[in-house]
Amino acid sequence: MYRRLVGLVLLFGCSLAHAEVGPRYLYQVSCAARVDRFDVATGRKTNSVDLAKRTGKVRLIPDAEGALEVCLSNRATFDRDKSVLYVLAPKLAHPKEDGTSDYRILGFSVPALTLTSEVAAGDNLDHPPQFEVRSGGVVSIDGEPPKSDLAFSKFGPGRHELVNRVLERSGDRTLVRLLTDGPLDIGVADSGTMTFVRMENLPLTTVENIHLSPGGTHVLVEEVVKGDDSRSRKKTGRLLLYDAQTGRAAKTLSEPAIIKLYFRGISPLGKVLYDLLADYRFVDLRVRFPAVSVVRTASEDFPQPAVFFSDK
Amino acid sequence: MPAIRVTANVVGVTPDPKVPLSYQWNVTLVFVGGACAHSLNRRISHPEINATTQTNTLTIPFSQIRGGELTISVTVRVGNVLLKARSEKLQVVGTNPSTAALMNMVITNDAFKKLMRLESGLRQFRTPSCPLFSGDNLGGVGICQITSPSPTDDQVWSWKENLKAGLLFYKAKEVVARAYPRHVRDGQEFKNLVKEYNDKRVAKAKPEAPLKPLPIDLPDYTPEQLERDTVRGYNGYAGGLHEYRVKVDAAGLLVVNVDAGGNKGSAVWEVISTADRIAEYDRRNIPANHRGDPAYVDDVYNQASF
Repeated sequence: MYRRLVGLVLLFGCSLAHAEVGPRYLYQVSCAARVDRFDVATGRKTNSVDLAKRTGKVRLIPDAEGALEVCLSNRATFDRDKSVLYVLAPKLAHPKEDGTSDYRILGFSVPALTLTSEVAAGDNLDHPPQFEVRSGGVVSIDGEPPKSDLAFSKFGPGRHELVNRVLERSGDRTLVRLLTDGPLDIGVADSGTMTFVRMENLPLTTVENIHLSPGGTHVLVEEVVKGDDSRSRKKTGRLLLYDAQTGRAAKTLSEPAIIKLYFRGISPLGKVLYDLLADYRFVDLRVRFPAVSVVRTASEDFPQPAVFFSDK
Repeated sequence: MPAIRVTANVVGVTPDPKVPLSYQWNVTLVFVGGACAHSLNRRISHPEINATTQTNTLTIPFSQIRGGELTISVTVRVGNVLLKARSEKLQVVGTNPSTAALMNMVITNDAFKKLMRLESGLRQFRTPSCPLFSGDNLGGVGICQITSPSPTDDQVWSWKENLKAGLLFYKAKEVVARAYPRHVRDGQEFKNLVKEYNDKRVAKAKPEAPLKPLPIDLPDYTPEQLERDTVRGYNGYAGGLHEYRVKVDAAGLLVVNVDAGGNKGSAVWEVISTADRIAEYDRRNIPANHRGDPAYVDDVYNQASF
């Protein structure tokens, strides 16, 4: 058995045998090779590590001088069995003149974040490669890019083809955007029951402000208002938690403190991390979620930070 | 580097005119950056000069353009007497190029001239004794604010060498910018956008008039776009963001110009506004010291040329 891990991954370090038990620590991995560790129970940041300084005498992650042009720690993937974080690191802090880069995959133990492995991941590549972590910690390069849409005709109740874009996946559940001409149309497809449920009465929002919960049981929606120009949107601080089985809002929260922060991830313990640089805040949804990873399907070369959970 | 001529006069002793004198010279020139803002305490030494002359003058044979503290020692034997003299704490300073001098350099690119003005105000030196080191404390220096790769000692003290490096760096960024459209075309994100566009186009077609997926190209940059993206690259493509991105509509769908025959489509480049650029930096949590100037390209074009 092996887990296929692509894109930005949220992984959880242990299963929730009881509702009260869950991975206590949330790790955020940014493209600057910075790993921040948060204690979800206390809502505090407990450590902040520069991975570039954790590779011993040989610098395996380059120094970014000036503008950070490439993601120094991409495709963060947590192997919960081995408690090892894998990142894709370019050999240079800038693409070469032809736009390509050379890569290696580095493994770091969690929570110590000491280097455990180094694997070549390809040279002269136009885009950062995908990789998989198989059981036993074996890394395999060049996985297929994540599928960007769903074969919608297989899903009830309608079972007809609709043009769609897959946003996130967790377990059997897939957060899908239907590319209709009207307002934003979002739903959750369940490949276990082969059903699709639309989220009803969405507030004004954007695809960047909609997030699948671990296990795909809920969808968190951030309300926005129009900004200064036609394209920009501003968060209002109003959060709606939709039940993915009914498509209805199960809970509404008002959290003005997150307006200028960015969503980073939902913990199985129901805590949502928002942050921007040194500023951070947890929002407590007071809902427990299955400890199942959430996979973002966008394959950006320079993605937003990835998060994973661990009990260490 | 201007010639420096040193003279040693023997005083208090009368040399025998039949015996030629031999003057042993030692010259050091050392720059220690401690007193210069943002120098990161950089230290630059000219190779020590040792020379012998039969006359009492020496034109110091500098082999490199350098500044800093100059120390000159001379030794001469007159009969049985060994005479020594030393001049120290002399300062060799730098001079900023005049606009006329810069105009004499072969710089055909107006954008690059404006870029130089933005980067340094056309100055190599902050003060006569201090090169203009960059305020971001990344070791950048000089008229082109050469930062990466780390500037050489020549590039610190010679504005001509600094300019040469700046032009090479600009050319290298031009190569990157020229390759960028192909890089995007071949990327998964663009392929997904094209697929979505065509899926929607085919789905919307009436059964009696079915449509095929449209071949959609992403054009290369125009000369103006290439120049602007090169200028952006000079400051760095922070967050992997270039000056332009593929245009999508408010719903996030690809904007396509379809040709008159309806057989081909062309995607469109759009400038990333400063506000959007900052929002992307925020979304990606890029540290403030790794963002560069979000408005760099406009800031360059707002400068005067020379």
